[in-house]
Amino acid sequence: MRHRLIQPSRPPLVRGFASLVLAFLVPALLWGCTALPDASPFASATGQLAEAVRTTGRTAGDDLATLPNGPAHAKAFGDAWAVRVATMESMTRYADSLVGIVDAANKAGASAEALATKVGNLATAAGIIDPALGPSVKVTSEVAKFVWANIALAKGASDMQKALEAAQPAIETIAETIAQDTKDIRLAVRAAYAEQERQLSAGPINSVIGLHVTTGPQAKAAIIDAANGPLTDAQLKSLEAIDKSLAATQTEYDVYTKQLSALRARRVAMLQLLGATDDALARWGAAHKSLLTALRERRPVSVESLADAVVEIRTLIKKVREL
Amino acid sequence: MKPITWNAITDEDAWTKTLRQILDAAAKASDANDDAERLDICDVLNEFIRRSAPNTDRIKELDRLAGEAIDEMAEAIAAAAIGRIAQRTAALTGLAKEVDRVSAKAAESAATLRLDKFHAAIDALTDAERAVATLTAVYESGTDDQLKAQIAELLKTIAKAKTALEKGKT
Repeated sequence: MRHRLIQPSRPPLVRGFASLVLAFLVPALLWGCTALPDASPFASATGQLAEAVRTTGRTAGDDLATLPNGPAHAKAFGDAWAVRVATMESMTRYADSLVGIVDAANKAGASAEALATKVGNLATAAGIIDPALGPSVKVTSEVAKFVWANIALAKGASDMQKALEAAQPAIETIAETIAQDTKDIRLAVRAAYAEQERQLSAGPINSVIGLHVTTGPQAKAAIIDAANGPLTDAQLKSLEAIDKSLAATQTEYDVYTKQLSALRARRVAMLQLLGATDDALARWGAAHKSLLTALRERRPVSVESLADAVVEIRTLIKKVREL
Repeated sequence: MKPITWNAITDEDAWTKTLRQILDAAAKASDANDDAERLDICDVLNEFIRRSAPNTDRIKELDRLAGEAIDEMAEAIAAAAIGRIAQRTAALTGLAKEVDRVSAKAAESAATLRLDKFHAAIDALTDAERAVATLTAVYESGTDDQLKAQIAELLKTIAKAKTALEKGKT
């Protein structure tokens, strides 16, 4: 039993396809065959920046909690930072959607060919097309592939340009806002670390520190300076007594210096991450603008400096997490 | 402020004089609203607390004053910085939604380029065509129950194809 599922004259599906073809045929001819700029470096950089923003927020929040009004500061900062994190997450989705357009445009020819083949197979199965016409169905698929591939490049470029233009003001606002934020985080974090160092040196350990850093060395220097030639037995005994006091407190002092070094290393790593985030933000904003310009002027986009910034951020995030 | 020659400080009077110099510099930096300088002075005050010795009552009192100065400056600087960050949040509010709208449109564009709706419509029609072929076979050699079941299946696939075709119109 043969049956007809597809009406011979202009079903809605065919009308829809035809209007797309007509809408983009002329731009396709004007655009030519220039490939869309690769949006994946921008997407990768956006993901890394989003991670840097998350890590910065988490680490800074922990540091701010050590201040005198720590809990209140950490909460106020955390609430404000959550909005930055959410904004960067939406930017990650946006960057991925740009990659989606480029990917779809690049594979459009194959998609059209697959669709034409499916239509041919269906028409054959439904008895609309004679199976002996197999080769002409194949020709139709190849024509569809060629035509749609070119149309898709034009439509893809047009849609990608619209998306970039729509998002550009948001990109500028985010880049500017977070750049100012990192300046303030730098101040707040330095303040928190100053407070942590003060707390580390407070209490009974303070006498031990003073002995190792000041009174011990000063006393030894005074004995040596006072000597006229070789040291006397009394002077040697005095030096021995000082060394004995230093040795008796060496373990405590070593623990303190290790803690101080670790604290300073964390501070350095955090400030480095802030610096790299600043730099990457500026390059990220510039990369978006560069994508837009590349589309408008139909030229390739350069991404090396953005890739460098991404590698640096990745390394510093790892360092901060390890500390 | 000028660098301090710590090794030259050997008695309580000298430690007291040094702390006065540092706190004067801190007051100047506060008047000038110079947070970076104030933080540098916090570092100097921390060094003072570490180095000032021996821990006589007078030295302990000097350390307490130095510590209080660090607390006050650190708290003020951090509070102001966090306040500025919080104020800037307003500029970002609503941006995420705006960007999500752009992403949704871009995703629609990608779906159009992939011809998703057309593929879905043809796939649905192909399923309907197969259901018709199966119905034909069941009609010719199946039971009444099997026929009823296959008619129901065909109706389902036709409904699916109708939906896909209507989506393809938009």
